[in-house]
Amino acid sequence: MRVVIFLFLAIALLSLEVHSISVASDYLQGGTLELIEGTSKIYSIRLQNPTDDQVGLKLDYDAAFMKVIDYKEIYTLSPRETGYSILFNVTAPKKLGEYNVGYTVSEVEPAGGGGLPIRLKINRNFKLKIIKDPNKFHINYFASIYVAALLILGFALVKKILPKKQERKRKVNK
Amino acid sequence: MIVKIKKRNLVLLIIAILISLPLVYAAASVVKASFKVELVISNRNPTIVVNNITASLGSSQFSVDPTAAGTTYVLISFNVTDADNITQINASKTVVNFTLGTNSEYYSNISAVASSEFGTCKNTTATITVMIINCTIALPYYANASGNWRINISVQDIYGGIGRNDSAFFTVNVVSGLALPNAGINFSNVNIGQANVLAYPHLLINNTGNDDFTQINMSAAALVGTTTTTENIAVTNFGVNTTNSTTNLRTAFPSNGVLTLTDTGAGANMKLLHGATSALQNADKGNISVFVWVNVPSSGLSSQLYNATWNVTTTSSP
Repeated sequence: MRVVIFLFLAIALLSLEVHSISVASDYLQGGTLELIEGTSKIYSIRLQNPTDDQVGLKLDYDAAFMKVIDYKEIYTLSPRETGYSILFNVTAPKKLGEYNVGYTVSEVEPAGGGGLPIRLKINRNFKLKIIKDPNKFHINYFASIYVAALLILGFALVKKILPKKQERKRKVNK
Repeated sequence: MIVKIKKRNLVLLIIAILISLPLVYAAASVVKASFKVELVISNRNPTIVVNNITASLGSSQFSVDPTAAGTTYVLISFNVTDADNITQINASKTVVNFTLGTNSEYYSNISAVASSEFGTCKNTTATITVMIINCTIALPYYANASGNWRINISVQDIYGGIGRNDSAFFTVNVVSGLALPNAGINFSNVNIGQANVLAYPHLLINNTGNDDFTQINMSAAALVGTTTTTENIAVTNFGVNTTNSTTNLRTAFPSNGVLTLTDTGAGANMKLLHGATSALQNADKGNISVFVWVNVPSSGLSSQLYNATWNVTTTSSP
């Protein structure tokens, strides 16, 4: 016997409601935020609600490099609200180099519209580049070790060659 | 022949020669010269100064967030100076263009395309030689994100003299937006053991911003009976492709339910690039279609409603 089952049945037929999510963020040249070592910078995103309903949005982010100022579990946006500002305080890690940083904005309640509910999530990533402080005196450790090694080698050679020369001179004088 | 001239006559003769000499010289050396006087009345072209912008910096002066799936109106205010009096400024010929680089993406105020009307600009008088003009320019959501958008302004005077200013830059920020025109998908009624059932409607994912998504993940879960919760349809029974063909390159969801959509033609991740049919560029971009299929198990299910929440995650990376 065949059994009719209903997969996420549309009691009401399909909803024509448009389901959407949006976030604006500061433009970064080459998708890279440059930070001088030991400093921090504010990076901003703005949540938008393109729908005619109130929506709740959730924010997840990479806490290793940045922290949200005035974090909320759920950000509630009024219908058609744009420009709900969220500020990230991005702090430069100690080591110079390039790091990947990201955040994800997602809907709290997915809209189903009478069908299978689908939750939308936007994951944005950017690069965090830590550069040297141009006003700071930098010691190049590799170069320092190299120079020290050269000096030691030079000193050792002088110590070895000089006594031989003096001995030869002495012999000549005799 | 010897001419004898009396001394007295000789003196008189010399005097007569001396007196007449300048007259003879003047008569002999008459030069006719003509000259003309030209009066040039020059028209001075209007000059334009954009307000609240330090154009000499040569870098972006302000930033704009596009609105997802919508239009953002950018107000540009500038002073037009005509040393010949503002009555000579033909404000209806004001053109404000936003242009980006060499790819010729541009947006204009309405008066630029409908020359007979002032369109989206308004003017007010500041002084006898200075006019303030405010123009709004519509920036669509798919305008490229960049810090190099240039503002080109031109204003004509009544004699056709044109004043230009294209020294100001601004930034269009990134807006990442997604929309599902159909809020959910539906398999409606299916039978036990039925294979290759296509959900209706298909999942249309619109990119409603100017961001480019380089990866799209679908995260599915088993559909659980809403009455008898011990019954479910495993996530591995579902699959997706980007064509609505049953003899397709359908990818079944793995047991963890997370699937990265692939472009089977390119053999790489499916991308969702920004664009719109009305855009100058990327007119064929801006959305993708995803078709969801199910093979219904042939046993272990009763007649009831099965449901779950799935996720669509789009990722953009530099």
